[in-house]
Amino acid sequence: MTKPLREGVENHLNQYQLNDDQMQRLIAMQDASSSSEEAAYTASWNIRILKFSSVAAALVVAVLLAWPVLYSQNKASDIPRSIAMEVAKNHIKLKPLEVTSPTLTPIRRYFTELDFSPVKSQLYERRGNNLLGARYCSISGVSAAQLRYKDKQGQFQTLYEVGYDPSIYGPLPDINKGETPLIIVARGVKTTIWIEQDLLMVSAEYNEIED
Amino acid sequence: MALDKAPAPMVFDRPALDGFYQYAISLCGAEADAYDLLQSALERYLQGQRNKSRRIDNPQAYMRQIIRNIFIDQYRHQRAHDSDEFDEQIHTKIPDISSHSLENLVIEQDLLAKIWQHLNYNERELLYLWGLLGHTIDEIALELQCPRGTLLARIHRLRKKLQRTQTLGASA
Repeated sequence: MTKPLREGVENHLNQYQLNDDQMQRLIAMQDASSSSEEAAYTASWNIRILKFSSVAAALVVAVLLAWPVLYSQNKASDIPRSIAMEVAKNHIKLKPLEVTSPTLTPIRRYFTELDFSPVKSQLYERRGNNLLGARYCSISGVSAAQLRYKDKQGQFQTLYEVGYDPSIYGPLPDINKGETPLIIVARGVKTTIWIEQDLLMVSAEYNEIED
Repeated sequence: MALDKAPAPMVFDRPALDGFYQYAISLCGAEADAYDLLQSALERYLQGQRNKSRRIDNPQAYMRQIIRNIFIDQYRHQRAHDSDEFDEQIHTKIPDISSHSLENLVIEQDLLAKIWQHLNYNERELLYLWGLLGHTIDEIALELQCPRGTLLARIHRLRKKLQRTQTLGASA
């Protein structure tokens, strides 16, 4: 009986089947391989988890170690601005003077509670402003002297002096070392910050914008 | 962290294993050799899976490729090869051959069983892929990495061989 070649090929090849013994051996080979693969898979995940844990732990340690440095750097970068903000606020309030004098000597005598003696700033004196008087104030919680001046245009200016402690104020430009003062505008007030004669000095004046 | 799904076991079911066995028989021509060939190929396949050296898109085709490679390695030196060069010459001379040449053929089952052992492994493999798996000539060419013209030449020669055998069988 004739049939199409394709059907004949199918019939011919389908008569060949693995016997039970052969089939069982091949299935057993596969099962054994799957078991070992599963074990290898579990082991590989254990290794991956271990590696991940190690990396995570290392990152945590690195962050903990770097945190004080990063924190202090961040804090240091914010100090000049916080000084400027505080000084500007005081300058705007313009509280009454506690001592009035066109010269510094009586003012020095007045400030008996400070751990420094107010000095004549070489940098600020160049402006040629007139001294009006002074009062106590504070910068970053440290007692300071607030000296009030009037410029040639009749505007009030303020010069703050406080003992310079790097651990409180961080690094700031020292004009005795040739460094340039820091200028920060806060609350519309132009503040200039510098170190002179081991004192932190901050001048404040209204930031005039020319028309 | 979520774990990936565990890999599915790389297990061929019984029909698949029978299919590989039939493919191995198509290549070897003998049942005992076919089983040894299948066992070796499965071992190599499973070893490859354990090493995870590459992702396999079509495991069955990949398994057949392993069977074929091992067969060629083991038996090539024992068996005479048909020359592809000769095949190309046939193809050049007879450009109108196609898989339809096989589709139109009818044959007696007993006669096919007799002639089977007298076909070479290339022809048996061609019949397996075309007849049992239903591959087209292009699919066979892709799987065997063989030029289409060479396959068409094989079909032409196979058809001639089958027709001649049928003629001889009828006259006997």
